[in-house]
Amino acid sequence: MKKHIGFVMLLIALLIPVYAQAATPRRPKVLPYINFSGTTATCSVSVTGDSTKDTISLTAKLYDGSTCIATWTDSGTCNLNFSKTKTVQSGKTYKLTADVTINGTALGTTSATGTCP
Amino acid sequence: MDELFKQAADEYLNAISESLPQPEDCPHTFDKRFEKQMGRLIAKTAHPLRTAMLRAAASFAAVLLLFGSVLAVDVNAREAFLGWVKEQSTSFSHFVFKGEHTGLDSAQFYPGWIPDGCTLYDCYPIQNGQTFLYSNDCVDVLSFIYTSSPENLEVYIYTEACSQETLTVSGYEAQLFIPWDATEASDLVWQDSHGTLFLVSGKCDKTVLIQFAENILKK
Repeated sequence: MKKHIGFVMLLIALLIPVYAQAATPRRPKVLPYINFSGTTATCSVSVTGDSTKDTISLTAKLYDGSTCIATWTDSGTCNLNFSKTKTVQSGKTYKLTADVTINGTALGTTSATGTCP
Repeated sequence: MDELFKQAADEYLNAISESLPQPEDCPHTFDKRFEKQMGRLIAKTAHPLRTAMLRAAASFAAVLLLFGSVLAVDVNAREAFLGWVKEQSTSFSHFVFKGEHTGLDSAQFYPGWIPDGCTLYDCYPIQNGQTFLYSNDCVDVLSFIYTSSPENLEVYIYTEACSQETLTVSGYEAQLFIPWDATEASDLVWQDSHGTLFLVSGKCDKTVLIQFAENILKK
């Protein structure tokens, strides 16, 4: 009997983390965007969650080639509409990356690239 | 002690090997299906580059099938743009505009019908488009996003552990991403002949999501 109880307890202990992991992921929509006005780059990221209780964290970075020239962070609930500006150089290509975390789960890097006219 | 165990294990292995019949004493024939599958597997392993190229070609063909109909039926559209093309990364499907664009479509859109129990939660402009968010009593979000921005913007949707289905929305081919976990939101993406990309998403029945999409109206 004791063996059975021990086995059931072990099974429950193994299932708890699996259940918690399965309940966490969400399916956000992420729209990174980079716009230029003269030598000012406007870096925007729009993130939309699936629940009004989703907590969203964003780390946005602006790259000139392989050099990161700006890093920003922001957070919100359900949705996030981030926008910041940075002075850049004409003729150069810049990459905006957005790392999004939903409910504590990192979902990978998204990006958009643009050339300053 | 370890050496002793190792020696005993080796002797045991030899004894088992010697007790087995010779391959020529075991006539056998595999069925044709098995032989064919093994042949394919061996070819894949022997030619990884060819396999990768075939996979890339298949992905390209799928993109052509998905977005080809817009270009086939609308001559003006074909002249104006090539369109939003889906690219796949590890966790995301992302849509990026490819080709020449003659100008931005300034048309505005809004949902003409929302499911019972949903109320407007938030609404805000994005680059050459807008986001509409609706919520229900269960805090689930039904969203509608559109953008006609062709440059420097990419649209990412999280499509890991999803099945895909191609269907039609307002006469345009659309891609439906249905998560394997039925408690998560499905995404429906399509583009019109003017280069506007539409995305609706929600934890609702497929028919409700399609009805929501079919009722997107132009202002």
